[in-house]
Amino acid sequence: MSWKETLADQMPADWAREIEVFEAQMELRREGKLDEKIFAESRLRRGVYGQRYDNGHRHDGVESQTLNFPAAPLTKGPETMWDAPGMVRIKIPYGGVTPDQMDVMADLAEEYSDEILHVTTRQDFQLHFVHIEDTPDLMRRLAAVGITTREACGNSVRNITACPIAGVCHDESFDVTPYASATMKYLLGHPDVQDFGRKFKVAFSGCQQHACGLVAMHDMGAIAVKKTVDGVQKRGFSLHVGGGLGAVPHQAKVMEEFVPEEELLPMFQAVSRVYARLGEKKNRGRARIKFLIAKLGIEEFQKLVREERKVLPHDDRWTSYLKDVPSYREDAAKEGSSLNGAGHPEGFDDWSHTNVYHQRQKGYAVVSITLPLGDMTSFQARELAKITRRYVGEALRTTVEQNMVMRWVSEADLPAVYLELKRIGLGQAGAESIVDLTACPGTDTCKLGIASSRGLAGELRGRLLAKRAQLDPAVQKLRIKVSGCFNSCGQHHISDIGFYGNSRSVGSYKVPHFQVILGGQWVENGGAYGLAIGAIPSKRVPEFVDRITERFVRDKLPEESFQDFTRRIGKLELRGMLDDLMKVPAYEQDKSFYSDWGDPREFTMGDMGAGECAGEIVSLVQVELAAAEREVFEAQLEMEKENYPLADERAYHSMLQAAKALVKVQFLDVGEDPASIVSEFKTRYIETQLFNDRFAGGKFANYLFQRFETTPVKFTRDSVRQLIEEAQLFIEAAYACQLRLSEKKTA
Amino acid sequence: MNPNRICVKLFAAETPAAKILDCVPVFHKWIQKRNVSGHLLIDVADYSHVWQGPGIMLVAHEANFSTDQSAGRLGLLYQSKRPMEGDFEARVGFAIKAVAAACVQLETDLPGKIKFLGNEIQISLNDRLAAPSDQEALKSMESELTGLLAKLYPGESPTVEGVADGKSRPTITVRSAQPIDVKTLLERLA
Repeated sequence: MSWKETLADQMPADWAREIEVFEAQMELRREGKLDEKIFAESRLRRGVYGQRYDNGHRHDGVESQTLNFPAAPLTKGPETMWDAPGMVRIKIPYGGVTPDQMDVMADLAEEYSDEILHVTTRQDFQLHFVHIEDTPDLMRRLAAVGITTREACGNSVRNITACPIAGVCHDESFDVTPYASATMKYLLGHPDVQDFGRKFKVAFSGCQQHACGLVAMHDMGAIAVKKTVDGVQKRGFSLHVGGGLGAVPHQAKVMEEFVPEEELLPMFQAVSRVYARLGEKKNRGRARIKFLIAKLGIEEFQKLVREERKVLPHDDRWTSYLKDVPSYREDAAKEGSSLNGAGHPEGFDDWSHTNVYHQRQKGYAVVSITLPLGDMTSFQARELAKITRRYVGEALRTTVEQNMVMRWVSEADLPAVYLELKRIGLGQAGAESIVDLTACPGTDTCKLGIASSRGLAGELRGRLLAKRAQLDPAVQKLRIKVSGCFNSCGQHHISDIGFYGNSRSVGSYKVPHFQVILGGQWVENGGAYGLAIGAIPSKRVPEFVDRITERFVRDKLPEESFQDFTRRIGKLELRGMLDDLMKVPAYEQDKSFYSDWGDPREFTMGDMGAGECAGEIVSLVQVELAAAEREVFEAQLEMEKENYPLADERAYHSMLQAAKALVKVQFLDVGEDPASIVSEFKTRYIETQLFNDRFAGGKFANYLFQRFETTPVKFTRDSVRQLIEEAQLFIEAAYACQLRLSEKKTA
Repeated sequence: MNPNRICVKLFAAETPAAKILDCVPVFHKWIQKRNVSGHLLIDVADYSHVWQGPGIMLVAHEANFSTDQSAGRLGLLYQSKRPMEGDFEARVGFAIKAVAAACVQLETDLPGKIKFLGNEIQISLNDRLAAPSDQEALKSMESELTGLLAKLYPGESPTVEGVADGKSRPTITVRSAQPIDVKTLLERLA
């Protein structure tokens, strides 16, 4: 018997058919009858992702080794070897997961993965190091318990996230869970979401003021709102579009202040249609909906969506689910009753202070289960399922902070639940605090990772946990989030203290660095983004965290938040706190700076031996690139002072400066005229493709060209902020280009 | 019964002086030297932050090797991931050989810091389709491994303790009263 036969009648027929189709595509690809690019997109839309080193090469610290996979040269996508292990992303709509589903995911982690279940920042689960041959059965076993991996990756609607305390929160307008669930079912596989140029992320939130679903950073989001219409209170949503982190973060704009509940799905569909029709398809770097909205303006986009809504053919599913909404509820397994003076086991009070939220339903609480770096073992997952069944029934959810919550715990059971969680290593206090760090996979498994986000987060977590009891309460409340590159999967833009990975050259070596981002806002649905202050070596980050938190404790005003504190002391002052930390000791003095956290391989061993001549040229380039970096920082300062035209000019000039730095490697007399710099840069770096990054191509150069060709007539905070972000990325790309050139010369 | 995926764990003796993080550079070195026979070594994963988890994992195409700490006991776990050749006994024999060889190598690379026991082996069936977690699976394991166990522990009658709770992997733990080191265990499989 196969899993296909065993589970045939335990899943919806269309899900079974989809998995069969994927299995057939795998076979066609094996036989060379399906193009690798087409197969890659099919694979991604089934949630089957590539992983680091799947191109068949890995630098072992001494040299780049070829990984001789048995099925080579067969590929499952461009430069992606067929049997290189990959990642499977499992969509968990609104984070809701049952004990039975946990059991199955634990089984899958043991049999096909590495015994670890990883919770992502979008409430998914991920399994790593999975062989593609195992994926159809893995999907069947998930489908048999009501989970699909469909459209967990690829250019479609990704997991739909929502507040993990929806339905039990004191401040929400109403429970968004049934709406998130209906939206997931409606949009999954819908023809109108199959032709997007990029991925599309949707979130729900029950209120405006908390972090909840982080609607402000999503492509499309809905915040629950009640409104009285003709004397009757109606449920609806404020609809937000065009948010996103990524390389160039955008805050979502309010498209509609109030959409009645019966209009929610058709409006989502209308937005999808407009995006599919007008969104960028060729240039992936500008293909997210945020760029379309920035280009059209929110008013024009709103007009197009409203027109589209008028011509949408009616679909009964828009409202059919609404009849069940009023009766939607999670059933608690036990009567709610208060703790009522029961004894507190050791450690309980501390844990209860940070990990327990008292529900609006009397006698019940939500328990946060902190997962270090989002990870738990299959054993822990299975035991957690047992505890959930015993105490709450089915009410378990994942969170965007890579944790889990158990809802509907009778308060009288809290000490017992604590002891049960502690027994399986999940009773760690400090949920949603400075010790509860978030990190994307980074260089551990991600192909785009530049620096080790998990390595850094693990190091910081260890250090902070060791002194947690001594930390000032104001510091304990801070959040740290780490991404391995500028793509923001670790959500560094919306944390108090954020980091994203990059690298810098020191002599002929590469040194892992992290860009410091300060002053992001977690509350109000991720209401404000932090800005880059400067890059420091990876190994200096713990020292910086100590320094900034100590300064915060020392200099903060009464009741002042970290965001207000960073704004008050100003970016110039903050930058000053980094100056000495930016220095990297020579390789001979301290080799530890030349490898990343948790990875003893030297970043630059294979790149040693730069020639004298190249070294000098690199040195000149580096000076000029550093000047460009400084200039973009100054642009940030001008923006803070609301000198938008000057901030724009500085950001633009920083890009020119970086382009000039590269041009001067080949043509020293390029001069200062912007037209000459851009022309020479195009000829020498774009037409020759020297500037092109292996994955991003030449997209960052477009930021310079667009600004050069179009001088803004109006300067807004948003437009200036975007240019600054783009300039930052352009300079990063210039650094990367310079690095590649110096490597070439060395080789 | 012939499950495709098998796990074998050999336990560390006493409390080792080595910390599991010491295995990070060692495993990276193994990848550099390509010195785990019959395996395409890919990467090292650090799960040291996870309670009683896989610790440090050497990921190969065919299997994972990890400094497993489940149930609070440190050992080296071999988790096969690709279809294995031969009958059940041959597959288990292959897995024991692979993990024993890795243990010997670890003892060499962390001299005096870690020792593994040769007289205790934990074997799990990691394939719920072919081997559900029940008493039948345990009985099959025990009966089909009689020959192999006789080879590993000649002249002895090792105890076999099984656990199958319907959910976790069916597992037997084989213990021999006579202490032997892991190198001897490996030699007996030659």
